[in-house]
Amino acid sequence: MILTVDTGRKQDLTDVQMRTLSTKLRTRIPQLINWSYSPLTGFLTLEFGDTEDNNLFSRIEDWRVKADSIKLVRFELLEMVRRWLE
Amino acid sequence: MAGVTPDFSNLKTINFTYQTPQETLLGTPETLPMSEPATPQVSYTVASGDLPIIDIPVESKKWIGMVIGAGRVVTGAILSWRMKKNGYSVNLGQLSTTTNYRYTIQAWFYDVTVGDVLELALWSNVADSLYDYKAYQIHVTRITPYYLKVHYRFFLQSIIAQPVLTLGTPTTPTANWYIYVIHRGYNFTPNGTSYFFRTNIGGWIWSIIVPDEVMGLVYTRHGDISNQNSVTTTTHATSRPRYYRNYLPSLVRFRYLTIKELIIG
Repeated sequence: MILTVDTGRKQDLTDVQMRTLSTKLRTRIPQLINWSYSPLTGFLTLEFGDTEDNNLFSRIEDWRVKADSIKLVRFELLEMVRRWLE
Repeated sequence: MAGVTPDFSNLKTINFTYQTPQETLLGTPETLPMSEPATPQVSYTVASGDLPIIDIPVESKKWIGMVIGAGRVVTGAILSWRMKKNGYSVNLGQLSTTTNYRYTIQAWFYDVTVGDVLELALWSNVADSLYDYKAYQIHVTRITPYYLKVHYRFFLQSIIAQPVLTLGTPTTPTANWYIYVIHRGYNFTPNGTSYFFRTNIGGWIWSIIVPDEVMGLVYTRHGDISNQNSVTTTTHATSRPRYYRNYLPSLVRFRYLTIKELIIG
């Protein structure tokens, strides 16, 4: 399961900033395998492996509702792709 | 009296030939640094000879630069990467790896041109992670044979899985190829105007199809619809590289259709 969110910030990160972000992400999302971030788009992609976890998706949806600045961009599960367009 | 008549072009056949991937296996693995290196381990400059050969001109297409960096971790590690295009940061991230596992970081640079410098920097949070393999190939996506033309009996006759590397193993399944179809009323996207036809075999024919202005006719998954200017990553107990592949078009046939207005009588 791969989830991409729009952080609304297009900022390049240094090595040190990456470590800080990584620590925060992994503390809050223990299931996280890897993550990537694009300074070009501000998109943060979270990868959880090839598992279907509706509870996890519900939690992320809950975070999205609470955090106004976070927008879901795309969700991938196996070959299925869902995109939220502007 | 006026009327219209279709005017068919001669049969158009387009062959796509993909260049053999460039691969390098280091004789002696390098130890990854524990902070970001000033000089990325993997660097390729796009040359004209790297581009796939399309044997007749097409109106537009985009090139995708695929770059791989791979190796092994001795103790469990968090690996970091940064993709750079012409010195600018394009994507960055981290990957968790297990003790004595192989890792593969596969970067997909969207819309590259000849002369672009594509780089992948790798580093680790522990001192004994190793790097020993890199590879590079160019893919094609968003192919538009002719703008604003009706493509009649568009026949995507054959497809080919790329890259084919001499080392490691590909993941399965190979990513489908996609056809962008304008189809009003199909509620796939929120605006309900389009959807993507996708499959993993060749031999499909569309009676009538018009290229989308943005997406073209045929496009790929990795590097375009997914992982555009981003990476795919894998870890594996024994296989390195363990890499993702795209199905790419290798032979296309069609006629294009022009509508002529006739004045009769």
